[in-house]
Amino acid sequence: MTIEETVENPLRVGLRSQRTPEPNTLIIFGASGDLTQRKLVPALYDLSLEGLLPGGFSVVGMARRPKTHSEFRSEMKGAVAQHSRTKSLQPSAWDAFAANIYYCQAEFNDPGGYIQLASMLQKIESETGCHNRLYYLATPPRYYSEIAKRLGEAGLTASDDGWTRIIVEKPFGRDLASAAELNRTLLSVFSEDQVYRIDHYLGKDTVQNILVFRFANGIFEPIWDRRYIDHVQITMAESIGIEGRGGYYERAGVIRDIIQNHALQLLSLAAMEPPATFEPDAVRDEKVKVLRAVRPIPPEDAQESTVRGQYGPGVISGQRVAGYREEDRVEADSATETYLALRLFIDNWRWAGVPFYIRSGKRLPKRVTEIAIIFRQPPLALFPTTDGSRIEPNVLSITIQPDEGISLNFGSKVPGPGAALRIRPVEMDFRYGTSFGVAAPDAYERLLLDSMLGDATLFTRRDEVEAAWAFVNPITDGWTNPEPPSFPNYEAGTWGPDEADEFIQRDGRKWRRL
Amino acid sequence: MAEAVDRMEVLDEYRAILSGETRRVDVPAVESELTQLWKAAAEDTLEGQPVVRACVLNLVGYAQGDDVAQHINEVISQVSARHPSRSIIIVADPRAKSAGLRASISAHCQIPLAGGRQVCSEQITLHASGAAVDEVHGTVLPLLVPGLPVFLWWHDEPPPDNHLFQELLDSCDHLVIDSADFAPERTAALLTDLQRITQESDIALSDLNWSRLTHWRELVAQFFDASPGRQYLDRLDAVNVEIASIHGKQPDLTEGLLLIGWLASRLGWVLEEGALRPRLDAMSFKLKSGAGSVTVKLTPDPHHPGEGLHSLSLRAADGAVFAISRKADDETCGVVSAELPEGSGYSRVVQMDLPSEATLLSDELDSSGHDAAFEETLAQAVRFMDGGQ
Repeated sequence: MTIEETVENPLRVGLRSQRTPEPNTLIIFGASGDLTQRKLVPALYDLSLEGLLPGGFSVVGMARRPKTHSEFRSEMKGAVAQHSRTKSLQPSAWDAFAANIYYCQAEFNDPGGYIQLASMLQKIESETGCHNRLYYLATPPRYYSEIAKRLGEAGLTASDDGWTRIIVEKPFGRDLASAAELNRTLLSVFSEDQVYRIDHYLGKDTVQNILVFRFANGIFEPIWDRRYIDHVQITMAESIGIEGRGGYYERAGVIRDIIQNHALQLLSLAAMEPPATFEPDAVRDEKVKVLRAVRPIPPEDAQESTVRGQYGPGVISGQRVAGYREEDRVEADSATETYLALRLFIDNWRWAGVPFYIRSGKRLPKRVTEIAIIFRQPPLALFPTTDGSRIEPNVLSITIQPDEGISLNFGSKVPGPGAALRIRPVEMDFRYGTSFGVAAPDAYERLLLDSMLGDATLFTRRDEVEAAWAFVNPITDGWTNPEPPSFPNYEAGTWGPDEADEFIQRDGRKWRRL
Repeated sequence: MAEAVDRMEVLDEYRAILSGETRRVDVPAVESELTQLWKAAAEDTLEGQPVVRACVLNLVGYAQGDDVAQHINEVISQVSARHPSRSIIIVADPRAKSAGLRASISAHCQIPLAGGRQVCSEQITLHASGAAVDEVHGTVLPLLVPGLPVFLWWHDEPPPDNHLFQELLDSCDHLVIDSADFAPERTAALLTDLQRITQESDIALSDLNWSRLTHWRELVAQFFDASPGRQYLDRLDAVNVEIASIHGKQPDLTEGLLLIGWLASRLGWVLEEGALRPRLDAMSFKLKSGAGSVTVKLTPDPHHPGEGLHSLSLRAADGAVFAISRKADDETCGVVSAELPEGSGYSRVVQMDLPSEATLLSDELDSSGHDAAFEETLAQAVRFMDGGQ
């Protein structure tokens, strides 16, 4: 059922949430994994506690390790106690929630496991009277195709009297070919409107607020184009390293881990045209148009248009930290980039000639994600400065994390007499934590609920994910030859390699100091 | 040297205000004292980053007596984390023989997140006595921060003909009351007056008693969002509401009547003339619905002492029953269940904390205009209270 088909409930008038999902069963593949324990089940428990899940909601965890229902529930109880947003576990609420949690032990490639799953679902659904199913692929990506195919073979991808959907975790492929192949496999057994490709970044309130900020306020959109904007900087900095994910990171690097998904999602939200409606496909159509209009960086220009870095040992917040090559499961001569700066252009009417600079890295001095819009200078320097320099440009910065907010820098006269006016940049600051002092729900809560409601606005569509890979692929191709830069080339706890500063300075600009 | 010492003393004084102390100021100097406070705070980097003042609305509170004022102060302190505002509390003593007006300023500051700046909002307290009470609006109005919405929180039974109430009402966008505080025998008349006032003006009315129902309404709506529950919504024929009550104390039926009023207004149920004899302890009446009639029972439940709604059950002609009930052994939770004739059904436990006054006020401060659902509900509830007149 789509949003358009929702039956209107007169009791919803005036209530904040417009509906709750229909009763359904969530089947988690990879139920023994970290994601299930740290994010998924705690998010479901929190939703249940707030009364946002429907009556008749069940969870089936599927994984390879042998376990009873009771053992699985007990594991999940520990996970919820540790990771739930609401912190203290409420015994009666947990008992009621846990009563509908089940475990199905099976190898993902074993057809018998899917027969067992089908029989379990039949039993659950005979009690609830509802046949809605939501599969969640929380396994390593190598199992995605296998699971989808097996679900298809077992006839579990559709039912006559309910909906069936599937959520696919990132990374979605490791290049354009593998992403397209995965799409083909998924779409051979599911239809596109059943597939929910998750990018948890889109579930963050502040990311969604980019759209509200741009399209619910009349004052910004008229100046949101090449006539007024000099350039845009998107920064996604992390102070942490790879957190024991050496095996994954060696194959991914920052370009696959962050740039292909999170960074390009932020880019498309910041640069998209206003959608005709706030319907899933209307929003996603506009995002895809941005990605398609991004000027490709061909392999032969990849070296020139990007700066790669890899962190060496250094000090962050007074703590000595190891270099990337000293991390577990990382090659001693690894050429994987942990930092990337790049410049791109969007060849459309709105953005022609406006450079977008994106930088992202591990072990940078602080964790911060920001979109900064740097406006053009006034056409005439009316106020001479004492040292002959130009006045700082206006900057509108949207901070996504950690201290979510929006600030605007503008020039103001320094008080005091004198023939020469002294002008200093001042900041007009809005922080979410200040104006809305409530904790935002976890991104997974929002996205799980949306997928149960059939709202795909915050999920990535097939063409979107392939357009993102189509931009990234030629860059990674271009890096294979010639030799990668001499790594490590930046110290942990610094803002990346010197080459990144020189890279933007060549255009007469500089990175924002964050 | 002397200048440096003076400056330190001034800083110490302002730091004390930001730490929660109240400072008495001359009434005409309130604005300039606040300006000084924030200037000093912005320059004071002793504790790291300077504090910032935040303000998203004006909140004017009215209290009679110091105890109520203290309570309002505590609620505003909790609310200011979510709604940093300029709050102006009027502490009125209209019975005092001599007229007087004095002012003090204070601040509500939040503990900052690691690395973040401390965010504070300001409070002005005006103590008015005797004849000065009627004129205190003349002091309040110039203190309102321009361009921001004005909420008037009248922490008492609002006197529609009172001069101060009228004057403050003229300058506010939103009136907040709590009908749970009204004497039961006056509730219908007071709500009727307030309904008239809001109908005749652009002022939006909020009742914290209505806000108490938000979670109940959400849970009830969930029953009928989708099949199989949706099909029974038009076939409901009985509503039972139980109110927690304390033995020997008259139960407050208002919250229950608002809940029934909400169902009636949303589902098009109408009260037939003469079908109801209003009572203050329990009520039973019939409403006309599209499918026939709906039997309504609103009763106090002495087995569940306390306050607020205890349980609600909705029954459809086919035998479907939808119920919500606070748990007897854990009042922070409730049981939500549906029994359907086709054999399917469910029961689940959800969080049902009794919301604090600060939570309720905070929810109301979120609203930006008229709440049509509440206004329609109120119209119905008032009809039930006065017997369909």
